[in-house]
Amino acid sequence: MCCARLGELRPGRPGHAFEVADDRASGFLEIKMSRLPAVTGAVLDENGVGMPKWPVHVYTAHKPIRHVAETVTDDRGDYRVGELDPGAYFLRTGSGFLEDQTPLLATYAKAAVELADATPVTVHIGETLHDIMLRPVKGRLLNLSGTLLPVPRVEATLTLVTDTGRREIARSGEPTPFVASGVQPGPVELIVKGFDLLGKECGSYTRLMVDKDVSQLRLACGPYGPDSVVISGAAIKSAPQIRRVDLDGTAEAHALASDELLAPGHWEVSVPPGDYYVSSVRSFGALATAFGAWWGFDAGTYSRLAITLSSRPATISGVVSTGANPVSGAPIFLSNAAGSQTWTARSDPQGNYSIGGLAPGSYTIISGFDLDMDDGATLRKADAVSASEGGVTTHALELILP
Amino acid sequence: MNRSGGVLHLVFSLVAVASCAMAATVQGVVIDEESKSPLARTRVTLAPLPGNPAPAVSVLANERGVYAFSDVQPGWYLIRAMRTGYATAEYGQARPGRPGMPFEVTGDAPANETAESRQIVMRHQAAITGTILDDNSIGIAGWPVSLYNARAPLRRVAQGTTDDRGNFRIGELDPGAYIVRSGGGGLEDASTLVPTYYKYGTAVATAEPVRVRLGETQGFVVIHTVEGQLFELTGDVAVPADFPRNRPIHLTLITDTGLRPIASVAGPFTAVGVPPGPVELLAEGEACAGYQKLAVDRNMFARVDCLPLTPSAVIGAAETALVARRADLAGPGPEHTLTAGDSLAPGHWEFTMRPDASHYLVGIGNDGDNSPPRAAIDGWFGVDIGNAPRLRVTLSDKPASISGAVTSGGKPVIGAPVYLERLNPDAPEMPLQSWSGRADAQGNFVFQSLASGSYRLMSGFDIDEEDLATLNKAIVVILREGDSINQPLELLSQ
Repeated sequence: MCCARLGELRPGRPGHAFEVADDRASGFLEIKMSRLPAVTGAVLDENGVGMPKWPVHVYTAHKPIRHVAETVTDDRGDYRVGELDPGAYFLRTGSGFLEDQTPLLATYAKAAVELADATPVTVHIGETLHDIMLRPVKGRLLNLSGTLLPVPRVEATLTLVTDTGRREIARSGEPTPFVASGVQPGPVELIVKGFDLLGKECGSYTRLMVDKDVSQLRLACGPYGPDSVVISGAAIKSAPQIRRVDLDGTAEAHALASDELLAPGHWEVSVPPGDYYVSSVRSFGALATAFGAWWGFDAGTYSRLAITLSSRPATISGVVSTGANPVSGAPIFLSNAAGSQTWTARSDPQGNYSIGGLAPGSYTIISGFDLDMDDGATLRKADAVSASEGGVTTHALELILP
Repeated sequence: MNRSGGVLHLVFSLVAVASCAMAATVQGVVIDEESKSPLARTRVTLAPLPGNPAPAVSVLANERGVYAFSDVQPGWYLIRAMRTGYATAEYGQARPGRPGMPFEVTGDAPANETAESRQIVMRHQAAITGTILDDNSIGIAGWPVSLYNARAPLRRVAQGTTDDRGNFRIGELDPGAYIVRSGGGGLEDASTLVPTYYKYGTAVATAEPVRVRLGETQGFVVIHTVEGQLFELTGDVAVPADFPRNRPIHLTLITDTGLRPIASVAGPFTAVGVPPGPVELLAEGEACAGYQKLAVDRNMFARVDCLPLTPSAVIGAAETALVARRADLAGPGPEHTLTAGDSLAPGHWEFTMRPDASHYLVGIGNDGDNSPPRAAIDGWFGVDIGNAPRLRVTLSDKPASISGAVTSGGKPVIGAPVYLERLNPDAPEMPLQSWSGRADAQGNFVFQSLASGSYRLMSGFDIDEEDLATLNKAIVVILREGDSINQPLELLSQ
């Protein structure tokens, strides 16, 4: 079920602020809640017959494309994925083999193997989108083979991760040949994890793009760490947040401990907001890619992360009013020009707002109680503001009325 | 060989070249009853009638649902189709779920085979759907649901979990009556729900069975959950002093609403949220096992001794293997054939075996247990075993048999389906065991290896098991030990 706020104009919208005063009788407040969106449909074979117990995957349709949910069809080949946040998604079947060993590729709606050909679906709060049919396409699945190299008296596991899930494909302390068959063409992660003789963790991480069979892979369980994370430019109040991102999903974020060893793989780091902005994150000197507040990097045997902060962030502030009257508790939505990061705030009882800790650049800003932020028409009503290094941009906002 | 039908002509012209003069091709298509769509990759079996020495042959239908058996020797056959989520179907059945019609493959004249001539229509298995509601009639998401068969002994046969709206669906059900029950557990606040039956109540006596027919989805099975107390089970898994330390021992808590792991090492354990009722505790280690059964009605303490296991010994029937399945509160486990040296974890098991035609199975029990054996249900004998089981199989070399000819209007009915039920003297409406067979090409049937008792015998292509008028037309036969009875049967028609 979704969250709800008192005084919402409609489900999913910000609620109205209210004042508690000494001289008034307390009120009885009703909050209405709405269901989170869901998608239903079926996985069908070449004759339109439902395929039972077939996996279905859900990905976000905006970048970065992430695996966010999965389910399995029921006895008639029908599926339902609920508890989705409102937004756009790609639906996709899993890959696998039919009863006669015909391989089926993981296939997006509608009958697309490549992401570029996939049709996204958009769901709104309280809505169940019906009849999203998936028809898996026949094709060739690939074989990956090689050797998990030995570490004496060490039990290591080799896990194959794709964007439709993961499976353990080898486990041993001996040199172990492995074969993974039925691998969907596309990105693949091979993750080795184990413990060495001293009980210390070992591991390795290999990311491949496979479009044909791959043999003679040689994977080892190597020691890793120590990592170094250097933060310069400003003092932060709390530790950076870190989360592991594999092809099949994103782990919960946690505070990065000073002595933490990052296992080999893809990670994302985020700095808690403060009186600064992140001007760059570099891994071994190479610029990390940013998605919103998260910066992605690959951790290898060890990591060298340099986070540069600027102590001269920009601030955007002003008054929200309707006509000549200031609006208290008005919701304010701020986005960077790329649309990859958003900030929300509320005006104070005098109608004043202030959003700080911003990088210099162009932003769009809008205020209203009933705005559909997924709607292009709403975004066109937003004001453009530019913020400069260390500067305060004053911008008066007119409340958008429903 | 005369073939017709556009696409099929291409497919089977190759087969025709290879087939010899005496053998025929049997072909057809498998379709879904509801959508009429072909059912690709369905497993289709060509089964000979009794007396036909040809072996049973299985193929997968192709992607258009078309199957073909080439080089079929002359004789009488049935065709059977099996597919996940569908009821097993036979060619020529009067309606889905009924036995099919046998047909003859002749050697001389090629049969007029077309895809349509051997069409098999399949129907979905049944399903039950419904909702688990809280005290305000709001669906509870992610809540467990269990399904039990509504006949003694009550068995948990399927399970499900509600979706984000509190709805559940349990499919792939055989037709029959089921009892539906929500699981127990805690809500977001401190309140707890006890397992609740459909339609109301927490006692099985108040449960209302849900009846499903083949292909039917029985909806609106709504359970209003009941608040109640769940209990805490604490205890200790004890191992012998000489047992290697730090080896994993998995302790599983089993109730009639499911099983959950509660510990992976020896020593003290705690399980919270245990619903009142029978509970089994099973400890399994590399070299030891322990079992404890208790009735929980308050917070309790239980000690489980994990002791070394001895391979099970079978006395009394060396030549025929036993088939075993574990029968936990959470439901029967998979069947497997017991081989020498197999160890069985302690607990409640069920065993059966199929003796040769010169014997019948009297009973299976613990060796040395002189109490009267429990009656077999569907041929399975329930036995509580410990860590060193010694199972005694009792066979009798004086089996009874029934044979005869099925006729209709004085003519033998080739391949007539024949049903035999061993009646339960205490509950005539619930037979102890059922058999079904087919008459051979002369209309003759035979059932062997039977124990003494009273039996109900009937034959028909379209018998409704719930139609009492039809059941009353069945013949009741009383067999004594060693009897060999000839019983003519008239085919029942609807």
